[in-house]
Amino acid sequence: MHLWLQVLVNGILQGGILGISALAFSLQWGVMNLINLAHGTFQVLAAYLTVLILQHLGLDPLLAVPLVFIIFFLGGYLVQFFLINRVISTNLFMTLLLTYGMDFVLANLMILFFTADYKSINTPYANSSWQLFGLQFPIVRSVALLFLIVLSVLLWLFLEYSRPGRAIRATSMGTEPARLMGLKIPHVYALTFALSSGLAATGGVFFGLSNAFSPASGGPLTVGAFVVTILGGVGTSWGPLVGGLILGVLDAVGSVIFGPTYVNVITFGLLLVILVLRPNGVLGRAG
Amino acid sequence: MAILEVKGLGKDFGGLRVLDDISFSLAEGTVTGLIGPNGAGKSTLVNLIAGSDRPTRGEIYFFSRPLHKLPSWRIARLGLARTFQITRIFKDLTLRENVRLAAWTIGMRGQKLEAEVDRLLALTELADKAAVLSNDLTLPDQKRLQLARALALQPKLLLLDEVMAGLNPVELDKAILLLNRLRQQGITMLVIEHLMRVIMNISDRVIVLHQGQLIADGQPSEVVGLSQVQEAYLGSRYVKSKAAEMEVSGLGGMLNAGNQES
Amino acid sequence: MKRQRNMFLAACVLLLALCIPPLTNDYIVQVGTEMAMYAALAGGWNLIGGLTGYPSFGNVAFFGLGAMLAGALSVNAHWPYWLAAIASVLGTGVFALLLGLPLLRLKGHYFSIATLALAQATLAVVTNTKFLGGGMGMSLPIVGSPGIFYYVMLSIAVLSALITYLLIHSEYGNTLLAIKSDEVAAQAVGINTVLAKSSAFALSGLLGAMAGVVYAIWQSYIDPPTVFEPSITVLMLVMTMMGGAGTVAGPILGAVLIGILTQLAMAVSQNASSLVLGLGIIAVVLFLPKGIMGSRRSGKGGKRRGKNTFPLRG
Repeated sequence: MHLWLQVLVNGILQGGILGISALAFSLQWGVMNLINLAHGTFQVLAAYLTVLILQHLGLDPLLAVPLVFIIFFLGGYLVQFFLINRVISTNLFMTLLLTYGMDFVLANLMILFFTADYKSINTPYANSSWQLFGLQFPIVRSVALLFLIVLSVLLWLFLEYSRPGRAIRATSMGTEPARLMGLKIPHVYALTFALSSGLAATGGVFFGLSNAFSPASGGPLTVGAFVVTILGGVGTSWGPLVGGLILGVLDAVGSVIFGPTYVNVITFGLLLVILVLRPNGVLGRAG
Repeated sequence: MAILEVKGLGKDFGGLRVLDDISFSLAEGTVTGLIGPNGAGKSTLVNLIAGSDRPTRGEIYFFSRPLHKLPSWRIARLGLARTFQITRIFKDLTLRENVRLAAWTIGMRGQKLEAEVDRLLALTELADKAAVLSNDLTLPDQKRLQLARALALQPKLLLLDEVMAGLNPVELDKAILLLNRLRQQGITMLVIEHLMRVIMNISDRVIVLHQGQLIADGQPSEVVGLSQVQEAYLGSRYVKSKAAEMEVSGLGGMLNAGNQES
Repeated sequence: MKRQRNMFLAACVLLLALCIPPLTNDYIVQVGTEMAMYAALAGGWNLIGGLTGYPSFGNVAFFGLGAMLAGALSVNAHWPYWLAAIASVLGTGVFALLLGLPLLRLKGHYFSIATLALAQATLAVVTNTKFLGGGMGMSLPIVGSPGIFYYVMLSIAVLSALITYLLIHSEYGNTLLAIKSDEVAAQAVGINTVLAKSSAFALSGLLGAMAGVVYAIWQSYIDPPTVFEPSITVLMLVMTMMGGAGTVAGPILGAVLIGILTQLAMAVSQNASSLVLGLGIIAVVLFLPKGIMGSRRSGKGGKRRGKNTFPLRG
């Protein structure tokens, strides 16, 4: 009983990191119909950046989150404005291809600069846990879950009540009406991607704090974000939270029952079943 | 004999009731106009009949054969062809290939196939553009192509969804002529059209949709006189003021007096 | 006229390709075998991704399954190579057909993701199945000489191109193009789209499996992570896009160009080769969106008038 409770807690807390990652992924997808295959690699890059900040500025990773967010926000804006915007209106898979190319370039640049070896971020709290009711709550993952909840609320407030947030929502309903409303779509897109990149990077910091990573770690992260987004529904504010928790718990429970080598069978099997049963996505609009 | 029978047809999108309890039948060889204001559910009705969409309630029979569970490609091969209001053409194919593909799917081959494609291209006045990639066609040409492609299926029933929108007066006359020729060939037609001139000209009968319901069904001249039809189109205030105006000028007889609100 | 010229060009290229083993060294033959393999794979991808417009991100599943199945049947079930090869190719074809039925109901991104998941799920199942070699992979008995494998791969590449050629010049090929343009309209003119798409997917799977089987025998050692490597799918996609999607020569041209590019980059530095490939992909997307061969019959008068385009200067 106690074991299962702990497994459940682990799953829920794993859902926090998955959820932050999906928050970014789902936003791009929902607003621009953009699938960013470089998503996971952005996150790994954020983890490396955190290492550099820790080494050179001595800034604690959790305190560095705002700085990492801002750097990726700016970078994301430029990438969307000068690169992705050039092809996003042509067809779906040119953008897929472009982001895959970006993924390739980034991953290989990281190999050149940081080598292909695994790294981890060394902090005093990285491997410690809080004890509560006789259960272990790993600090980093617990904070990540709190972050996910706070970020979901902030993102929802931003999209619902701020001017740029409303512009983003209007654009997600179609570029034509948005343009008639006088919105500058390239900038709205760039803003969306900037925001997503910042969120992705935030998730990357937590990923780096709780896992060893290498330049090749991006792929599985992207796929995880896919699955969570599909589970929770594309472009919904609370989908990433819900999807993250579902996948986190399923993976945790599944790996105890079937063994860790079956986690991928569960994840991808689940993804396939959901896609086939709900061809237009669980809640989102059709591609 | 009824070529098409629609019984209690309904369609919901989410919680929105787009079509409700629609029943009518089409007699073979007739031309029926389907009119109604924007958003009345006309295109949805055509989609349901052609199998591009599934009804929420009700049944559809084509020559007494149930259609509402068949995929749309089976329906097309049975001889029920359609055009789309927002044109759908195969832009990676030439105009000729567009038409030929349709004739090919119903089993035409060889010389007969090519001859039929030539005939249809001539009929729709597209022969000189046969080798053009259809991506490069103008909108009226795209509409004509859709018609040619539908005719290539050798249809017994043709559903035409605003094939004449955007045509100039000369083209319009030609189009009306063409539809009348098709009628003489015995093709039954259900025609959605906004231009009353066209509807009055070619229809044996007119049915009117308003907010997802069938509100009128009858001879064209009868139907346009009905006040609920005029209300649906123009709003009740317009009809009232118009009626008042006409009474004053002594032209009240133009409107069907029995249906007027006093 | 134009067709004769193309035939002549194709014959010249084939003749040149046939001359490679006797005239060059083992290294070039090995590179050539790889190029032929990718030409075959990209050709297979082109059928579903280029002609039918369903961008599969999981075609490596067919390559990997073909390879592992052939290995398992010959090593673990002791079937002769030829029988294992035929069974593996047919088995993978049936696998593609059956999975195509539900997956091809999905559109756009959803299809791409589902095929990506398909490849990963297949990898996961293979890794967990002892008979198929499990996570350890397996060694196959060594047969043949490098030259033989070059010719076998080349014939699969030629077969792949031939199938594409025949498709494009048939009404079945037009059916696929119609589905790519507008699936609703395709159904409305009586096309059984489910059958057409699934059969294209199955053909794609057959070609992938053929290349996989030959790869397994050629390498004589295979393990799941190598033969299910997701970047193999992406290479198929990039090569096809670079050469020209929906064309016969496109995938071949793309495979040869990417192959040469990779070799050149490797000569500079081992690490740089992937970097160059990534930059190559970005360059293709930005500067050659229709591929070197261009898309089918567009060109001079082909103004872009897609409904979904919107001018981004605004």
